[in-house]
Amino acid sequence: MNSPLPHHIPHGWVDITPLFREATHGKQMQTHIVLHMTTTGEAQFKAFLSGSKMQLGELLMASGFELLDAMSALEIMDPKMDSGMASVADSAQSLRFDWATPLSSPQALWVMDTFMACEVTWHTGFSLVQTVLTCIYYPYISQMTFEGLTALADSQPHNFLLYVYLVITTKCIRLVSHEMRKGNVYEDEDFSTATYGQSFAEQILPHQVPALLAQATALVQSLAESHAADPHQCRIYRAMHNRFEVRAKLFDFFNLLASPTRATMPQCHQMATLIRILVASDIGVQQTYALGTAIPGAFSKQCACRYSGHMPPRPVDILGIPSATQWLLGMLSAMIRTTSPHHVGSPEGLTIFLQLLQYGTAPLAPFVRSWLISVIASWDSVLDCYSHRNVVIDSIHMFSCPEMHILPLARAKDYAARMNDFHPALMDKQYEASARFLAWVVEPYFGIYRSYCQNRPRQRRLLHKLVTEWETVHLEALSLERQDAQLAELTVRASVKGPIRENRAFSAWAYDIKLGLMVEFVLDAFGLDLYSPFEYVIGYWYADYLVNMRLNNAQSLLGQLQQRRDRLTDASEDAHRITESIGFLTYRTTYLALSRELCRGLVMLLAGLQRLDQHDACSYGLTTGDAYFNCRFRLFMMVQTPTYLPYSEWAQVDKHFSQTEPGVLLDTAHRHFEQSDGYARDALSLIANDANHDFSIDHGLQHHVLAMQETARINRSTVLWVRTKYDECPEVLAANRWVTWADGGHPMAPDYLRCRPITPPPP
Amino acid sequence: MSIASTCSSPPGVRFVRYENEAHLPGIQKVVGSSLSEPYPIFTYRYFLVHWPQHCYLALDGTNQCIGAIICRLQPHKNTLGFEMDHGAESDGEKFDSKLAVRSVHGVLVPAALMRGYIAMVAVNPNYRKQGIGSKLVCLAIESMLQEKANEIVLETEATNTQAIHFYQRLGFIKEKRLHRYYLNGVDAFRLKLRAPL
Repeated sequence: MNSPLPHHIPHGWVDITPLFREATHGKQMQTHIVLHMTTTGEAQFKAFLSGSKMQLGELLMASGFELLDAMSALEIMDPKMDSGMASVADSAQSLRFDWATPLSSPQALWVMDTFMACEVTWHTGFSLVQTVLTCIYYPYISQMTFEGLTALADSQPHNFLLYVYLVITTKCIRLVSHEMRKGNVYEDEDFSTATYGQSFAEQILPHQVPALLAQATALVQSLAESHAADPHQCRIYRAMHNRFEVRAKLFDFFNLLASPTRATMPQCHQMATLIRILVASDIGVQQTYALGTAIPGAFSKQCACRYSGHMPPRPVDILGIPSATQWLLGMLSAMIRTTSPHHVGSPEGLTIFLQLLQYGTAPLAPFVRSWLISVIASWDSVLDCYSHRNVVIDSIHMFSCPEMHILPLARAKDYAARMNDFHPALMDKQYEASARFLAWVVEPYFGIYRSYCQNRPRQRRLLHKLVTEWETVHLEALSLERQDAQLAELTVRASVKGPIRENRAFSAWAYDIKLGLMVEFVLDAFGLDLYSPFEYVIGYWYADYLVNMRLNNAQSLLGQLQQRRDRLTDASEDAHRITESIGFLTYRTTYLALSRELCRGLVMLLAGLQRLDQHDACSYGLTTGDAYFNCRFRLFMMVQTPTYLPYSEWAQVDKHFSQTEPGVLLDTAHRHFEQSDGYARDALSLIANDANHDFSIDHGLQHHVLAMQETARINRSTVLWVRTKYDECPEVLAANRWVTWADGGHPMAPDYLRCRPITPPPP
Repeated sequence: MSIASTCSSPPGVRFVRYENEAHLPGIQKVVGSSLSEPYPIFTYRYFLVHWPQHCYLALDGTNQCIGAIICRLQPHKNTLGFEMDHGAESDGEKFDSKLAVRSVHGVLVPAALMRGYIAMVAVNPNYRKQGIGSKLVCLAIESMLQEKANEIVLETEATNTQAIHFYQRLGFIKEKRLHRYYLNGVDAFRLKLRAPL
């Protein structure tokens, strides 16, 4: 039997392979054929078949036979579904290929790079069958022993280098696959862990890998030295050396992750993403890829098709410079987003924090809760976010550190120690709880960052989930602050005068995070192309609605902080912290106001253009009623968040738009863009006057402001252009319908922060 | 005015509801030649046996199948267990008298339960651009709406702009983008049509 399937047949399944072989006159079977039925069921089934007279179209149906079973069913002898039927070509091709042929250095380099490209493609979500297993060397190295491999070093040095590289890469693949399966927090659309019964060079033990690496590195160095007179060969060997170094670091890193003390799936997946970026951005790969010489037949779609009925849907992606640039920009963009001030901490971590504090120390619970309130109040809400952001940045930077598996908690402990605000009786527990909380805070950033790179639809679902969780945190925070305000007053620091109940810092913080997530959720749909052009107005209107709520929340906090600051003396420690917090919050309100005005400008501009173009109905052949109904449904889909927005508010706005002259809407848009420009100047001024450069340099906020200012400027000029044309001849403009959104994609995608201007047609 | 009546029938083409297994080979042929996904016969039978009333064929003058649509109509699994009565266990907040929402673990979900699903639509390439697909879709939608479907969903390739525009004309909106939904690696949009209230 050459069946790749495991020979073990689960309980309750019946192997009918002998029967089928008999029926097919002894033709060789490549797979087992099993039927799911018990012995009793089999007897009943046979009895039923012998006594029944079934007609064409009659079916025996099991109650549990659902769509998934129907889709997963195999049709035997159909090459599209019966993988055994495809094995003949596989065997023939394997026989034709000679693995023992000595390779030249460019050939070995080409296989290395292509194999790495296969690995990268696997990381992007394709299966091993479609990627790594297409390498015809794979079965060969899977059987090669350590002794046999090392013996090749002298006789076939390039083959030896290639095989070592493939073995180590295979080991990395095994570690990642193992971690991904163990972590069980991924989705199949992100990552395929099916190994199709393949071993990952198991005959070479993990402790033998460093020896192989050392031998290969020494060999490639000696080869480079011996070919010092040949620059071309030197470049090839240098490129090989580069690959071995990268691979060695990755191997060590994955081993660290897989260690019992720190087996963390998110980091593993994160690292998988970084591999892709690293590979794509590796200067050696890009510049020396042309050095390699292709070996025909070394990578074949047919090679592994016996493992799966699905042929590779597309050729293996060989990452080139354009895609490398795209990934790098995506990563930088994701980092900017990750470190922007309106991202979130982990509600799960916060929940654990609360549980540890409240339930872990039950007898002292009232004091702990009061301590919590006082600590959170002293964090001053937004400043707290700001501080956590530094933890996140550290966690991102830690990827370059070999000790990364211990850094997050250590960093968190360091931060917790600096808080220096523990109750003496609870020092240890609070210290540990705070540290764990801060360590957990990092997790969702990984999640968002990972999903951003891998799968934006998943990011959207994650955002939705986070919104729901933060809604709960917000409600609990409100309840906690309400119940424990009096207790909090008992433990308030002497420097703080006045009742602390005035400050709703914890709930305001949670509320702000929730709104920020909602804005992300709404705007993310632009990038996913979920909105139709006539729905853009709704999208930006709802974003404006949410940003405005955030702005009100921030202004409320700012007012509270200023009141507290007025009550303190300049010498107190709290005064300095609150002053710092006020500075940051002032910038934040300016930034939010800028966002709001930009959103409003876009809403008015889009509404004005729609009125000119009558786009909402004409372009899609919708009746007015259909468009109206669709808007209502879209709004409902958009706001599937705990903060439910009544449709009536949008209906009023929509009615206002329909009754307003287009020119007035355009003028209003222009005014909002002008105001946003003013806020941008204010924000830039605040950044320039920020002596500590806290929120300008490190976190890219200045870049954000400049980008938004530029967006406002371009859209302002667009408004003026349209306004001029409208004044000249409104009827002609309306009749021409020059804004062909239906064909041109989204003029504002992906979101208002980086929106593209509407390009006017050529005059 | 019914949805189906808005779509004109091309001359010489008959539209019939699925009747029995004799129709299956024709459906397999036209679907297999048009769609990228390799569907086993069990998939066809899963739909055709359960919901034959929502499956339609387009036949030419020689009774050859030149188009087909296969659908499903069943309660949406995420809303099973809730009463059909609007307002029951709802948070009471509504934006329409008939389109109520209710809170499920803090998340608002529509009270609509019956979800129609257009699984396969295919038209013989020689007969396209004649409105046959439109007519089939309209017939299926009307059939499901008559059985009190609250919403109808389908998936289409993100790159298939013609199909997306066609469904948008019928009132579908994009609900989700499905990452690499199809075996050929292409993303899909899930489109949803809300039943008229």
